[in-house]
Amino acid sequence: MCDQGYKGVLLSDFNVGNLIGYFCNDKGDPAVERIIVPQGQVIASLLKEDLECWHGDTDFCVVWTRPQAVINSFQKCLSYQSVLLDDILREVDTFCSLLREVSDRVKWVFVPTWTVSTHHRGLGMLDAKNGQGISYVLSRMNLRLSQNLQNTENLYILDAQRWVSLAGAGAFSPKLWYMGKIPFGNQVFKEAVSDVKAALHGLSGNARKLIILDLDNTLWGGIVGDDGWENLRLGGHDPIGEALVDFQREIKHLTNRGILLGLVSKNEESVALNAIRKHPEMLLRLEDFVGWRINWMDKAQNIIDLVSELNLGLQSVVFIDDNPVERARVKDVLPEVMVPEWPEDKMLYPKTLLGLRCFDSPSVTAEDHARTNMYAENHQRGALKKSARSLDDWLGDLDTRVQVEELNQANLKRTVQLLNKTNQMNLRTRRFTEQELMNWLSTGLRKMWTFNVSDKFGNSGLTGVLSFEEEHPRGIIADYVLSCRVMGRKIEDTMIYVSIQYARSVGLDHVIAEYVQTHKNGPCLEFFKGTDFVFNANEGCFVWDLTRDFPLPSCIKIEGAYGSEMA
Amino acid sequence: MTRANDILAAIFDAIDEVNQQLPEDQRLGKSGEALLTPGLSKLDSLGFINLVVTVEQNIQQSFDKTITLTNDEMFSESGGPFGTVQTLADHIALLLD
Repeated sequence: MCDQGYKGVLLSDFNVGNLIGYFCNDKGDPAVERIIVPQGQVIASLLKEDLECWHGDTDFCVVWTRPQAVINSFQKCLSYQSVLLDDILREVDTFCSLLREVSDRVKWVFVPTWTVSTHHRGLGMLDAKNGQGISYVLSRMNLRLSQNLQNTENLYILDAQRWVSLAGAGAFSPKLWYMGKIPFGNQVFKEAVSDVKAALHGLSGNARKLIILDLDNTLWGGIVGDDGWENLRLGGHDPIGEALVDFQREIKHLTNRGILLGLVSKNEESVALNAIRKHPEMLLRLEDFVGWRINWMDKAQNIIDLVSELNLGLQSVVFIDDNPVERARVKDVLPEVMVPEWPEDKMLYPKTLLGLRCFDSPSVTAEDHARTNMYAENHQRGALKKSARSLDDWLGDLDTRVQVEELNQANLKRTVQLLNKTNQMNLRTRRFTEQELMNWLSTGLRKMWTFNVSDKFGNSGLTGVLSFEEEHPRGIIADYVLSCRVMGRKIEDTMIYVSIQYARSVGLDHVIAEYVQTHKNGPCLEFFKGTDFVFNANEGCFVWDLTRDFPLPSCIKIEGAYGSEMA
Repeated sequence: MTRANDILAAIFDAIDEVNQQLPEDQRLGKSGEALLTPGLSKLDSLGFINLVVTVEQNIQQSFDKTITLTNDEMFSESGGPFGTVQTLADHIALLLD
């Protein structure tokens, strides 16, 4: 039906023709190539494992139903008949067990929450209070849906009520329903498509990680160089000032999701930094930013420099600037950078920020919460690097310790997140769900190590993953993934050292690493080229002959039980 | 003249909306002569229903008046007032009078 990208299945009890149209024509990333809609009832399609749509290369499934179509006793509730809540919830449980089965057949399942038409007033004043009220029962059903499926790791409940709210009065269309069996107005479908595509984007490891902000008329009202920091519009009894403080607050909240903040502004650096330090209503302080470029140079170039300093890719960046000329320049020169259209009205800044879907990510880990601190520590490392005599001296001064662990329940979530988010130092860019990873590891002679990195400035957390397959007489590095946070600190070599030591201990002859090129993982190729691995052009892979030792970098200490095993 | 233009604009906006759901080779053109009736135009019946309902909504927004276009005549072979964009615009003008 459409052209290239992800392949999906849509299960619904209503006509999804409009929804499919929006899926296929939406220009935003990622593209959806094909949507299959199986014939027949939803429940039958959920039950029939042998349907063609469940086989082959389907990536995702959306199961979008009206509650009265799949939960029979809810139909009674809609007609004000007496029905036990427990009976309704039992039916919800049964429906959830079918959804769990679907989650075994495709990579990701999306289930929009149940809604009823906003034209239905239910029991009016009693509707949310009375145990039989439609809105009360529906909220319990949705809660049960969410609770039942919270541990189904590749299944995501999407908030359809938000789509309905955003669509407003046109959310439900009686005319489309009676003429085409389409319950929702088109705006609801557009919101649904945007949310599903944002989820696919995040699940593919492409969630944005860094917001680069302008200062004048973006973080505060006014031009600091002209007006002075004392006269900026920020806070106070002023609607614009309050909106800008709220905007800063919402930006700061995003750091709790692991989003990093940077500044790129055309200003005198000392004047701008002084305003950030001294203005009493500034919520964002210097320690909230992982870096900045405040000067009179081209903003696009400044973004390139800042992103490079942070070891991130441009595809990680969102650039927010009130000035349409600066936005156009960055869009033109750096198409990988996301540059959202920004409203002129400053009171709309918080709303616009909160509506961005580009940060959607399948999980938030402890590492995410601590990310800004980790980058601040990197700043300190950078300062030490400038004063150190050589790279080796600097690395030695860092006192780097690496804890190596095999994959276990405690580190599984973070490991999967790292595998799915890392683009640059990634040998094969294989993406996994937790279940897929466990399935892969359970066959053959396979191992996966995780690498926790710390130094005298702090703990960078679980930042490396290496998986290894034994196919006697050779060993295969199947996954080699390192977070950009610790790249260039000899962790790369340490990971190889661990795999080589292991390969020798089990009597293998050689180890191979097959590099699978993407448009983002050039740094990984450069690393392997810089080692003494030999590139075998016939097999298209790097080879290490195990008669040779691969030394542990002198600046690294391996800690914990695994370290002593290695020693 | 202004009202006629506003009616055409409401229909064209509806065409833009419906085109967002259609493959490129099935999209409607925005001219008075563009055919609308399923079978004679590129629209299938679902696309046609979408178009008519969206035109009704747009007219409501532009003129603050409710008109009903959705009726049995919609799917008649001749197309009735739904033959082309222009005949639909003329029909809406009559309903608004």
